[in-house]
Amino acid sequence: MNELEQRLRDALRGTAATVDEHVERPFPERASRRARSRLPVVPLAAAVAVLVVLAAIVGIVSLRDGGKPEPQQRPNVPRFVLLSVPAKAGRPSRLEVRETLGGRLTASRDITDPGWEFDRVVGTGGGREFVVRTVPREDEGCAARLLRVSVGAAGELAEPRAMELRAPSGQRIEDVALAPSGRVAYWTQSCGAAEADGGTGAPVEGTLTVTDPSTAASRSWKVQDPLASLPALTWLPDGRHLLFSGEGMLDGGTLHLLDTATTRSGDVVKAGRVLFTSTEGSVVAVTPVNGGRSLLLAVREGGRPKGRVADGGDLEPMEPLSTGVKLVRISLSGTVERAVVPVPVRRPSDVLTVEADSSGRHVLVRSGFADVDSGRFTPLPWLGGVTDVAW
Amino acid sequence: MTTPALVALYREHQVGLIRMAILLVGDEATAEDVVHDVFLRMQDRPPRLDDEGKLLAYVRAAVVNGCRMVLRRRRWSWGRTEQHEPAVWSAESAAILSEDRREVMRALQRLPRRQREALVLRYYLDLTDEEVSQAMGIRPGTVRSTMTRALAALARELGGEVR
Repeated sequence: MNELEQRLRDALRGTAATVDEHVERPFPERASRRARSRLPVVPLAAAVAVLVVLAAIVGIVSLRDGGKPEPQQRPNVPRFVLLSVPAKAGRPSRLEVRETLGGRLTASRDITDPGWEFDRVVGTGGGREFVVRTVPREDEGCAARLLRVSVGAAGELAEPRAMELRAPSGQRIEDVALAPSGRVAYWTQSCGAAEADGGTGAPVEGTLTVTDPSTAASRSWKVQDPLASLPALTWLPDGRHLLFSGEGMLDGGTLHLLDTATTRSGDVVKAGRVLFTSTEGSVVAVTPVNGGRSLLLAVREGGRPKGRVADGGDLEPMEPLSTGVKLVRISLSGTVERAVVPVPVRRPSDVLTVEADSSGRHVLVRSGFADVDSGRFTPLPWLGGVTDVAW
Repeated sequence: MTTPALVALYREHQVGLIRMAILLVGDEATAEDVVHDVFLRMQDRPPRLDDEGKLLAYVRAAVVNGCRMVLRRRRWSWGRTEQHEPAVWSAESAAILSEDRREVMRALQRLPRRQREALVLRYYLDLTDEEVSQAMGIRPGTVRSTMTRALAALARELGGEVR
């Protein structure tokens, strides 16, 4: 073993040793599973009787609530969702179309090149038109491609079409938003040595590009260092105004609005205006509701970065981030219309995807449905393990 | 595979798996999340293994894959901020690492993901080419070439040559 290998081994072992082996970490179990395991043998008849009583109680409560069905059975949610599913042993990454009501699989398509995989999925909100990002599985170069994907009236999946969208040299397409009109907004970021988790100290640059595929006209804005990212990039239904979170730029907790028709190119933050400032955390996802008159935000409580850029350009210490997430509805003028109880998702990344139905009441996140009015959350098991989901 | 076997494996290897994950994702809370998720998923959908002796290799591969997912999500959605805590090799971390170790770890993070994973599995876990290939889901021959390129790249990052 040469000197370099010795240094590497020493560094790896020293770093790994920061994990305390004496901390008690119980075996992870789902609560229901644990509860079941504690139950003694229960006579079947008694169990059935309990279930019947519970069902009766649920039925009575449901009737008192107007007899409304569960969120995923409401008629105003789009009929289909598109999922990206990671590769597994012997099977490449795939796209799946499922019925929103119950999760029945209606179509699927494996990726053509098994060296790549589908990851990000965004839709227009109608459950029919989508853009999907693909990335190489094994190589972290700057490669990333966008595909247009259409779902038919019966849930069939048309052949994905490659989109001729290019990233500036040395940058990779990171995220995309699709307007109902077909306009596409995508942001790119330095890749390779200057990648966000690289920590090289090299300036990280980004670009926001808006393009209309029907006319090939496009405009772009700079997304500046230090963090150069645009989380929660979302179109308003008018296909003209864009929303994005300021979290990545260390002024966390802000939501910005950009008029893509009138504002000049330049720094995207300066070109836009702050629509909303959260005092409770950073905005991690946004979706328009009520025809774009209101917005539903996923706010990560306590997730607001506390750091700032010191004179030398280094980040000062940031407070550890908590994991609570809640949905907040605001008006387009930035007034809070309704603060919703926290969404009981297992981890904050489950709400990186937030899709609301036309009423704004029923919200799909990566792990299930939330009912904004009642605060109820319904997990959807068929979403388990997916990379992304959209309608 | 039985749940007792899974519990026994967790008790014996959880610290090692979390330690492996922290080398890939940077912070302990995220590393614990990844390992936690793997064991939850395995209870929902137990793997069909013809030999329980392969369970550790299966779990290791699942943790490596979980780390990839975390890094990918961070990249396209959150920038740097999904990390629960600063990376243990960053200047902000409360973890005490010598400057030399920090330098090596920062250089390691600048390598492409596949090279990074290969070096961690070989030089932290002392896995053979065959075991690394199982954990990463690539051919043993690719492991060898990746390892060679990774060491050369690491040497360049550290401003030296491979000796």
